[in-house]
Amino acid sequence: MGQDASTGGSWTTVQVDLLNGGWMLMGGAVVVLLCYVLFVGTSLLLAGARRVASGHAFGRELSDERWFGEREA
Amino acid sequence: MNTVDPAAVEMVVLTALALAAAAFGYILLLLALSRYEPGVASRGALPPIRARPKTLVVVLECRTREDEVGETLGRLLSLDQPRMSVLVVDDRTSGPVADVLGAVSDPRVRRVRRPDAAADTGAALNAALAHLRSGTAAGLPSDPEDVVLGVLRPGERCDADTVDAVLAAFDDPHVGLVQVGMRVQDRRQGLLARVQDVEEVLYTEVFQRGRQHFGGDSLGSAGRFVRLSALVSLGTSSPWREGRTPELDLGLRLLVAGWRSEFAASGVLHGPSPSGLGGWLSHRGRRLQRRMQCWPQVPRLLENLSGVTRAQLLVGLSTPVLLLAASLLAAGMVLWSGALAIGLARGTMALSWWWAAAYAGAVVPAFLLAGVYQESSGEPVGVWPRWRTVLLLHLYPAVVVGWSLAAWWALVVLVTGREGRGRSVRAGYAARHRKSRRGAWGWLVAPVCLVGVAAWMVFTVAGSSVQSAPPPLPSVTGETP
Repeated sequence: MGQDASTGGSWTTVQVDLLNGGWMLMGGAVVVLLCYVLFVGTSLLLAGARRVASGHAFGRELSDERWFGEREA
Repeated sequence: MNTVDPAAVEMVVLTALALAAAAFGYILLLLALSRYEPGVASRGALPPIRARPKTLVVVLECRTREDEVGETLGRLLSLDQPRMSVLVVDDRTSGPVADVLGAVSDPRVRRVRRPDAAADTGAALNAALAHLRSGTAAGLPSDPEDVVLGVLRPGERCDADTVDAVLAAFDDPHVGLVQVGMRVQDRRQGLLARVQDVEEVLYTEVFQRGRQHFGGDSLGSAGRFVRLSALVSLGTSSPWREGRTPELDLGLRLLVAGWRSEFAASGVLHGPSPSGLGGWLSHRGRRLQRRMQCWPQVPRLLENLSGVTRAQLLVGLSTPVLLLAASLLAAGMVLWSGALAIGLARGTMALSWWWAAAYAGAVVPAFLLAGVYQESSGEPVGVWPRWRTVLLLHLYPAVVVGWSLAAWWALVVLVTGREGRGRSVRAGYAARHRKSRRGAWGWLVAPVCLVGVAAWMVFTVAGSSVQSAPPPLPSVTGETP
């Protein structure tokens, strides 16, 4: 779907170059965003796997001490 | 001239459409969720039991906007809040702050000296904390669990409902810090101030409220209310680190230490807006810079937190990377705009249904968000009608471009340690800054590599110079298939 202006004048050339440049930047942004999603997803998965391996699979435990405190003892 | 491979363009279009659809769906989902109060289960909190009344100590840090100390102090003292006192941090024996304090005889106002004139915000807040822990502050509960510190700056104000909402949120003993929404105080005094107000209100009313349904903790822009016992639990006399706005850093460390953050939906802080476009960019840049400075904490965050909290914080802290990618999109749009301008001038531009579809995709959420702003802002319809907000939201692409510029500025400051016009950051800040930079290098490598890989892929594909049919979007010749 790229632009080819081989038969056009100089303004057409500029115009098509601008369009193609726009596509390249858009492509770069899309690849960066995909890599970002991959990077964040992998980080979270690895961190989750590490927590499971270390026996903290169920997240942050409620602390009874903080609920009732030593004052109640 | 190079010709872009049609297969590559197709892939870019499809992926961009998928990402745009995902973002669109996420906004609509949050918009729908934000209209309902979350249940107890999704907030991850149990109903408070035996909650004792809390006392709020507002720490008024007077390094900037000294002329507005009197007004801020007057508003605070006019609130009908018997369990609130004000601690003013200042080091000067003369000047606007001294004049104001000299005229105030209210016993709820106390003054603590800043360690030295060059001390930054973090040091000033640590001095206030040392004062509170020294026992010289009379009238405070003996249990630090019942004392809440709120950090305000001159020019900001909060109302009695906000104080009530914040203190009620601390009834849950797991909550260590509370966030509230932000409003721009002088929103009626200019377009830029109004744009910022729309941003702040929508962030609070749609994103913060909507995310409450997913549970977990997140950090907003105004996590300024902290429980004293949470500060004590960090085991240091200086929980606020050096830096201009150390609240985010502190908030992350509290979450890693096991405390929860809560969003008080009915609370709001009113603050002044930065003046001018440069001020706005610089303000946004500092916000992003704060997030970048917290990147060294990401490994601890991944290790110690879990679930939705971990995901939300990771995405929140990596927002600058998203904005750097968005700057590529913005640059592409600028090139396309140039091509369209040439087409318009030469009369060769043809309309495309893609444009109508893109415009509809932008306007529908704008119309919905304008309704949210109208409902939530409390503005009389005659003063600020809904159609004005719809028009204003058409400026949103420009706002995103502004955020992208701010992200590059923040990246440059982080890497070089210098702000604009060769001005170096202050000495106290610079020490912390250097430490952050060292830790952040690992995280900086990631976006740089991403951009490098993206550029390599795109130019490799584009370099194939495949002759192809004219593209369907955007069309310049009118001969599109």
